[in-house]
Amino acid sequence: MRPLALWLTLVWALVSFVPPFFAREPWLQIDGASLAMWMAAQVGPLVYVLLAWLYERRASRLEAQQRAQRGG
Amino acid sequence: MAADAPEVGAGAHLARRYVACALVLLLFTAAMVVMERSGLKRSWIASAFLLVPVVLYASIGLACRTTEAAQYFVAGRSVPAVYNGMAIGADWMSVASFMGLAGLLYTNGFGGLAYVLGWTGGFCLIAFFIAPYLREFGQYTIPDYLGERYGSHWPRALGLCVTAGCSLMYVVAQIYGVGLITARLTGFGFEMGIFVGLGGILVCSFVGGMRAITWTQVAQYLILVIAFLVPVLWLSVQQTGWPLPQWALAQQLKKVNERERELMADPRERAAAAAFRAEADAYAQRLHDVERALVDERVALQQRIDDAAMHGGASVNELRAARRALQALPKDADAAREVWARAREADLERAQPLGGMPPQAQMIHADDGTQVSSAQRSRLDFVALVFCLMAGTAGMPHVLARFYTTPSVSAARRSVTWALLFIALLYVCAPVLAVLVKYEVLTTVLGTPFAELPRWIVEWSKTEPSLVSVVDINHDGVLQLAELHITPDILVLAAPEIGGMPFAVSCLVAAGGLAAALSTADGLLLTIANALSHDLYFNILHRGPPTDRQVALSKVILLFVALVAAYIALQRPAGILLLVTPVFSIAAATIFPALVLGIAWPAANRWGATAGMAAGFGITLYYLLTRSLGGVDERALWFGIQPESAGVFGVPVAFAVHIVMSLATAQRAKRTVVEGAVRQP
Repeated sequence: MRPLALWLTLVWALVSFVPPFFAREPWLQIDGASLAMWMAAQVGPLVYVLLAWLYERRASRLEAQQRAQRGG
Repeated sequence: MAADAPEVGAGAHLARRYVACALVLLLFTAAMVVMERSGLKRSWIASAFLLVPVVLYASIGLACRTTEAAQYFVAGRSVPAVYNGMAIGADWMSVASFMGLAGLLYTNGFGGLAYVLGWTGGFCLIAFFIAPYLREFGQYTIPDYLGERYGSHWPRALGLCVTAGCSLMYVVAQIYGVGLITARLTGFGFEMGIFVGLGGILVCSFVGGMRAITWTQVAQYLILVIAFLVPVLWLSVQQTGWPLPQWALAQQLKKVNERERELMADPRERAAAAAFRAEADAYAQRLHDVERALVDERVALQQRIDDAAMHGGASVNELRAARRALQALPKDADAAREVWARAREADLERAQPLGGMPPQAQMIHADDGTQVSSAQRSRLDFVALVFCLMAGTAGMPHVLARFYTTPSVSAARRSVTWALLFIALLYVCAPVLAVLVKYEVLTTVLGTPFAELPRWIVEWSKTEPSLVSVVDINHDGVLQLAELHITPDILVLAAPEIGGMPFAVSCLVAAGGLAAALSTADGLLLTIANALSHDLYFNILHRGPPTDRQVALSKVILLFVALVAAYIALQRPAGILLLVTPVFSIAAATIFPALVLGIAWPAANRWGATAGMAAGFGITLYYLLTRSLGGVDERALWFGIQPESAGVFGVPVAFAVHIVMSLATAQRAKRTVVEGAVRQP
């Protein structure tokens, strides 16, 4: 599980901490606001839900496999 | 709700009940709108929106009453993932999220998005590194985990202090919010509002502990999310014709940007700003020689009153205003210095373009450091705040304790995903609400003659003048942006009135705010009481208690803590968000590192945990206190980071000290946990 958790943490960190550093770049403006704004206001929280869901799915699958192995 | 654990797993039955609850709320609101149109008194509508939800919460609370320790402390470890997700959502979305967040995004522009990212992103850390492992370990409280994992009273005692301290500060903010909302709904005073709200809190947590709180919070989540989404959807349809908040955000943000540019160039706005600057200069003059200015002011006001009384030239209103001004004059020079310095700062803020509010779309201030408003943050400061809020979320005891209530480790994991989904639903709509309300204010409220101000301004400024106020500073008889002051905390409550919605929708939103405040306050009070009874009394002072005494003691402590928190809230502390934010830094620098290292690193030991928590707490508190007492001195800030983000220094220090100390004492420390037992659920 640890490699998956670390990969997901990397995505989490990229989504959370990188966009604010480009918040004033004029070439990253969409619909009257920066890409960073859209990431923080809308995309970021949804990406977090996706990451938590991916982790939960993968962990549950691994647990099921472990149970099956123990049972077999 | 029946008596035992598996009953809560009767999923379909429960789902039907809660769906019915949501439908009834919508129908009730619709019925109230119809009755309002047919002439039902506003006070009746408001009372109905206060009473009906509180009766619902009380019924659930009483139905779930218990004296059994496992039920009282961890709801029998039987709460299904989806309901635990909802309960976490309600527990998490406090009055700061419900009322403060959209308000902050309105007044501070998108600089406030740090809160949206921070308060959602922290749940990823909980999902990956904390929740399933905590559930596997299976204790009752977070200090309990620290005590058992590290095999020592010291980490337990430190965890207990942080849990009780942070939760108390947090619960004060909730009770303050309860007071505001209850006062608004009932017309009672703020003080009475607090005690009425306190009754609503205690009826759940006192009688049924975690079991009652859980099922009440599920209902509260439904109410608060409906209450938040209704005005968002209403304004979306009203302004764009589509019930799609994200579409509305994209459309209206462009219009808000354009309107802000117009206002910045508007001569009337500039005149208002100049008048505020002149008033600030006048305060600066007075501050040069406070004693003399105070005497002059008193003489001048007395002269006005005497003249009016002798010659009768002044109207009754002018005479009253002069008397009020004389009464409001500071009593002595020290008080005058403080009041005038604060007034000068406020005037200077409002003399900035857009009344001191940064342009809505601007997240951070310019690279050269020039700020339009003091509310703006630098890139580094923004990122630091996001980090503190995330790590603080992952160390917040009242949320983490909820993961003890699921039936299994996988249910704990699933409940994080559900919780995040339920929380994100509200958080992605908060920026939309801020923009839609700002559009409404900029386009329909500004430019209104003072004699024809909208009813919401008049009523709110009457309820509590510090929350909404208007002043015709440039005497043109027309409202400018700089002349309108709205406290962020009331923006969500006022949103329906600003958008011209029926009064019943305002009451629905207030009921949602009340649900948010009550649910969080319940969770926090129980966390404090459980920590004090279970950890302090029965684990540190007296070991091996009979369980009925444990529950009884927790209830007594809960009542006592509730009264203390209400007393502090009565002193009207600073804004809700200002009160809550430092709590995250402290939790981030103390509990978060001790939890993560305790779970992920078998060599972490009691010495490391104790020293790490103490060091993290020390550095965070030092920065918080030295950089915020007596006003923030920008030059004294480390890397320009504001005091509320002090945790950004405390977290690495806590991790480093924990690791170094654990390595240094590896020989002395007894290994208390078999390797892998906590890391592999």
